[in-house]
Amino acid sequence: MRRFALVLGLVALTSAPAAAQGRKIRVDGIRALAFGPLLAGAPAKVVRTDPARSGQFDITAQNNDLVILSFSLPTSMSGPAGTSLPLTFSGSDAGFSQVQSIGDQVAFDPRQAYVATMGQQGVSSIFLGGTATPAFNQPPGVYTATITLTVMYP
Amino acid sequence: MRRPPRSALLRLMICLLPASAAAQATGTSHVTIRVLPAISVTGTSDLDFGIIASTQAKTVLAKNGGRFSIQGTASTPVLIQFTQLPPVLGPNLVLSGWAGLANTSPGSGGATAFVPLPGGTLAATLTNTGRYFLWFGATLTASNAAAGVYSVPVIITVLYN
Repeated sequence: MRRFALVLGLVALTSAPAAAQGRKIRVDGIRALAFGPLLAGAPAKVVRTDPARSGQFDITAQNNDLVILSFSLPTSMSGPAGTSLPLTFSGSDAGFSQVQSIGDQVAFDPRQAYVATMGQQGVSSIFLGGTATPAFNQPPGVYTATITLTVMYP
Repeated sequence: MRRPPRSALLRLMICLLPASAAAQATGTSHVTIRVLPAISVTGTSDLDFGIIASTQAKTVLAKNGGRFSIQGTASTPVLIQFTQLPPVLGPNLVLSGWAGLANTSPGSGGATAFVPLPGGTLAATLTNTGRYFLWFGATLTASNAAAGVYSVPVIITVLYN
């Protein structure tokens, strides 16, 4: 009997994470962080409140639940013939909006994990800015990089 | 009844634990930028009034006047600023009546006329090879000007718009 109770205890302990798996969670890349055209040698900054050029992710998760946001940020963009262009993010370049409004954000550091509380609708948005610093001899062309956002329940 | 081995219980627990790791999601987006080549502006012909008398007015039409060649990013809007259209060429040598032609091809035939004003601007779009051409003419009025050779720069500035 004592050993049977032990087995039941183990099942009870391990079934809680399984319940977490049932909670919805989803990330969608909505808008690319777009610096647009710029000249070599002229740094460009996009602020997270820029409605056209800031990057945007939408998160779908359980209403009012805590989620952990974690970016994988590139340090450079790749361009023509293997050239690269430096890209940096500062401590307030990301913003979380419970209500998906670019005008209603809470700033956070995209270089570190951030714990956010989902809104009542269960869909929130992340906005992202950054700074590109082309060199004076930066070859002309299009440069791109990938930004990855991972969201999980604590 | 034979009790289950402890290792079997651990395996059961490990099988169930990874379920929590699935409670996450990942999404990707991109960051993009387009670095433009620098714009080059070259004066390819001078606005040359030739030889004039000490008191004389002479007009050089834009199509025969000074010419600028612009090279930049293909199909890109630019703003051309008439940074310096000098009012005088020298003492008693007044420049006036500036006239301009603009074209997407190297020749002035079929070019569009415009009136450049000092400090004014002209919006244009570079061709699909990134070219644009301007011509400038003016009227020089000499009033008892001293003999000599006179020269003054005409300056335009071109910016991506």
